[in-house]
Amino acid sequence: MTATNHLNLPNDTVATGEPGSETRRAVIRGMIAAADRVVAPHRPLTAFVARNPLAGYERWGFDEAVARAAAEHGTRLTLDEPAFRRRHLAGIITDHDLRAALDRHVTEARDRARWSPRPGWHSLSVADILVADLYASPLAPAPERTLLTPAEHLDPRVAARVDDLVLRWTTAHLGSAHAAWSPMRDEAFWPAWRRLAARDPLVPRRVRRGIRALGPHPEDAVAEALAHWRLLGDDAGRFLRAHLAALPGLAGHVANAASEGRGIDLVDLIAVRATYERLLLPAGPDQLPDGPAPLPRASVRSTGGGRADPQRIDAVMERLGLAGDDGDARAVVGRVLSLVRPEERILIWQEALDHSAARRLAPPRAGGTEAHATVEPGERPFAQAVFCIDPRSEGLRRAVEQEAGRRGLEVDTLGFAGFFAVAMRWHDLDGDPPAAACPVLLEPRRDVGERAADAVGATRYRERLRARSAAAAVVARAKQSLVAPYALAETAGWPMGAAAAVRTARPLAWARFVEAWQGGAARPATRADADAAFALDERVAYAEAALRMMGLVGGFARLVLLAGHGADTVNNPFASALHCGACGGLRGGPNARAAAAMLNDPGTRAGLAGRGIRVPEDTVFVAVEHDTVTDRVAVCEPWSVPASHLGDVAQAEAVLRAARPAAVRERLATLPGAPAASAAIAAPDAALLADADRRAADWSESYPEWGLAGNAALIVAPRRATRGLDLARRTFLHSYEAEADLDGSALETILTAPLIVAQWINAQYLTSTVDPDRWGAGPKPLANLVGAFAVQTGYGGDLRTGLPWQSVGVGRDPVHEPVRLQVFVQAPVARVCAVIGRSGLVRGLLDGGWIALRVREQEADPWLRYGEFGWTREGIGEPGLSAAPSAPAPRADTAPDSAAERTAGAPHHRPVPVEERP
Amino acid sequence: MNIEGLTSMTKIELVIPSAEVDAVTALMRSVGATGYTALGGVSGVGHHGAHGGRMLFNDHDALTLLITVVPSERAAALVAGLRPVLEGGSGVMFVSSTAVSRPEYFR
Repeated sequence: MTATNHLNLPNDTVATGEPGSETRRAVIRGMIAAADRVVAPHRPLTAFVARNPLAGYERWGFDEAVARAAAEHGTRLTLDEPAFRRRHLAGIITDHDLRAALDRHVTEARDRARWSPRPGWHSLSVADILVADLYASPLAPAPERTLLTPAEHLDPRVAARVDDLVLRWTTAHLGSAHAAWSPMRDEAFWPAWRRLAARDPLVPRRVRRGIRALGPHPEDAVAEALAHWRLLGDDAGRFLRAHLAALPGLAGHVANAASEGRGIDLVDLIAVRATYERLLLPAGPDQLPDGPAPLPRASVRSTGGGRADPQRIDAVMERLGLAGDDGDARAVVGRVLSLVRPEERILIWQEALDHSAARRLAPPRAGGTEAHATVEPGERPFAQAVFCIDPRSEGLRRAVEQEAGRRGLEVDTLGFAGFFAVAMRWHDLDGDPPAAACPVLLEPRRDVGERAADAVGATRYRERLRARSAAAAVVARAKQSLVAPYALAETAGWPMGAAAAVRTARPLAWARFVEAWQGGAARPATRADADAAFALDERVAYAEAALRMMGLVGGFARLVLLAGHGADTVNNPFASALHCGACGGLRGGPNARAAAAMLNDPGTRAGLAGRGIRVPEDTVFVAVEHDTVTDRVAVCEPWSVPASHLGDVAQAEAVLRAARPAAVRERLATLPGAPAASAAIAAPDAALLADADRRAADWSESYPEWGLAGNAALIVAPRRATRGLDLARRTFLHSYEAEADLDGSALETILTAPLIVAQWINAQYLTSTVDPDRWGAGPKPLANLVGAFAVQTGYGGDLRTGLPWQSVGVGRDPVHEPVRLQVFVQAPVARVCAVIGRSGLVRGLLDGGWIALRVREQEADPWLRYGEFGWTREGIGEPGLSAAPSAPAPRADTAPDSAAERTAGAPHHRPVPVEERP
Repeated sequence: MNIEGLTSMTKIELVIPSAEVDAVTALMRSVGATGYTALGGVSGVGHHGAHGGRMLFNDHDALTLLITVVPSERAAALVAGLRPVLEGGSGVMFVSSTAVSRPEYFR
């Protein structure tokens, strides 16, 4: 077979059907498939699921990805140096954190031998000098994007015009399904664009002529552009990547649309971009500058940065109190500074910030002086409650445990991914489009439906729903059509205006009115038919996997709550980002219902017994849903609870209700505009609960809740390792009992699924925080919906990806601390090693420094950190370097001061002044 | 191939990350491949060490074995298109001669 040299593209002729054209097209498509790693597919708003926008960079280590992201996107993956230095001044990053980071980053810094620049001076070590460098040296240059398109090189106005034209056409195609009409509906993008753009009066005649001359294959248009600019090999690859990186948000949405087969892909996108650029730019290849400089390389271990510049040495000398004209000292300081390039400092700062989060959240080592509650196995608990690993659950779990304790009840809480091992496509009674209710990592295994025993009632309900939907659809169509909005405003403007005024002034009253109006179509009692949709062997297999993964293989209570979660918000394009990520951005109630149906099924239980898990006959699994905006917890199918357990469920509901104020109080203390923020912590419960309810109903509220802001760690351990600790809603808590995991497969599943989802979420919050302009969705009040699948900020610009600023910050300050995921696993080290050895996925994240992993076998063991040269002990988890015990649940009338102190201690608990509310 | 009545074709097999299957299958279709077989969750040991097989709750990050058979005159185009994909990422490709009994399925 003759290998085709794909670097010789322009030597081939472009004409369709000529020999070689098929090969050329394939090469172009292959090169674009390789280039598309510069952006990550981005899901539409309706199914928003957090993901690292730079997931394609995870093939490299974090340090190298930082350098590449700087060159290709002009962006950071960390905070800038001033932000790190502010955190040091604020005490978030301590000297201990910095020295620990230096130990990992600069081999020479581990040398504790003191060096004295001159007799009589304080002796200094290598680390002392490098710490002074971190504090005081002139700032390293800001990242600069060097991966540019020809138009960006030669004429930024043309580049902006290309962006604008491409955005118009592509969003018209991507949003055509949501628009009242579209000239591109039911047609693939490339032929539709060629047909319509050739008549576009907004572009010069020569551009229209050029578009008319294009053939049916978009690859040929790309090849023509490469030939025009005489780009070969790596330069051609850079050209393609530059065009994708020019509008990364749009490229991410197109990549997602391609994966869903919606008639557009990245080849089309680049073809259109490159064609406009070629036709609009009156320039040739001779005017292009030489190719960009090679990407700067950063390594995990510092390789040294050559000679340090005099200003840097001056700054460090001054910081250390050394005389600037001391030649010997300058020489030594200069030699030490040459160990670290200025642009590497942010990597050390990032490591220090990560270390700071790790020591605040590490479960302490048992036997230390730090107090944390331990639970002795003994009597049968009153109930077990399984919550999603979502960090928001942690606060409620703490409150529930404390409230139950107050009542003399033992409630054991557990953590598990909120889809409860039921990967399904959910068909609700309302007739909404079926949706994948499972992590994006998974394909739904079965279709599960919501079934009503009362068929007549269900039919009546659906008919009423249809009638109401039809009325709403008429108004929606009138609003979206070309002329009708004027007539609509004339005829319905006044009543709609009055309704809007009421909705704004009295959101809760409006919500109650709407609820009463909808009461006429009360839903009939339904159940999820997962026990029928999944075959018996599947039910047993998934049930066993779930129970072994969470370590619940014995000691079952009479009542086991499965708590999914969702977020009630209105007028919020990012609503799905607040729902359950493990359920594909949907509410978690249906998955909890499906799991309960499977686990209550006698056949499933018989199968489980055959596999060594005996669920007592009197144990009932009950699905509930936690609303993370209001912290209300509602039973999903009260009609499915057997009469024998109604009392237990009522008692559990009472505990959940009573736990709510403490959970709400803690959350509202950090939310802008909350009573707790303005009136310190002493606001009465009723005011706090009313404020939480308002946030769920208020269409002008841009801070309904904080979502997963602050997330920093995943702890895979029995609850006894974390019970009694205040983890400030910053940890994904996955229960795990090594003894219940007979062959280690449960741990492997945890480390290859929940860990990956947690890392995606963590990376999304990190990037949206460190560079909100590039990777965030911008301020909510400025968001303009594009076809219900994306937003733009204001009138135009790239489609925004990531999270809105109101998910990660207030005013100009981030609330989320952008740290890489810190993973703690309590399991046999050999078992963890075996998983790492088998899983290239986990190994890649670890070796690349995208996550940090610490392992211990028992609570009494020290945490050991994974590293490329083995496991090391850093002292994390020892006294002073671990999570703090939680205070008793605060009450407005009993302990306002202690609660305020407690919330001020954690970085995520930053009280926000009222005036910062936008 | 010395089996009477069969038609010579070229078989192309790839082991690639599952996340890249969509792009690669689009490439296959673009050069006229009429079909392919995908085996998800394959395991083995390669340049980057060991790779586990199917994961219980993660289809996205597994490796997939893609197999397609094309007329030999189309193989060069497909191989040329696949090379940049593999050069920029992880994965391996095997190209071999094969024979099929119903050639019209592959044209």
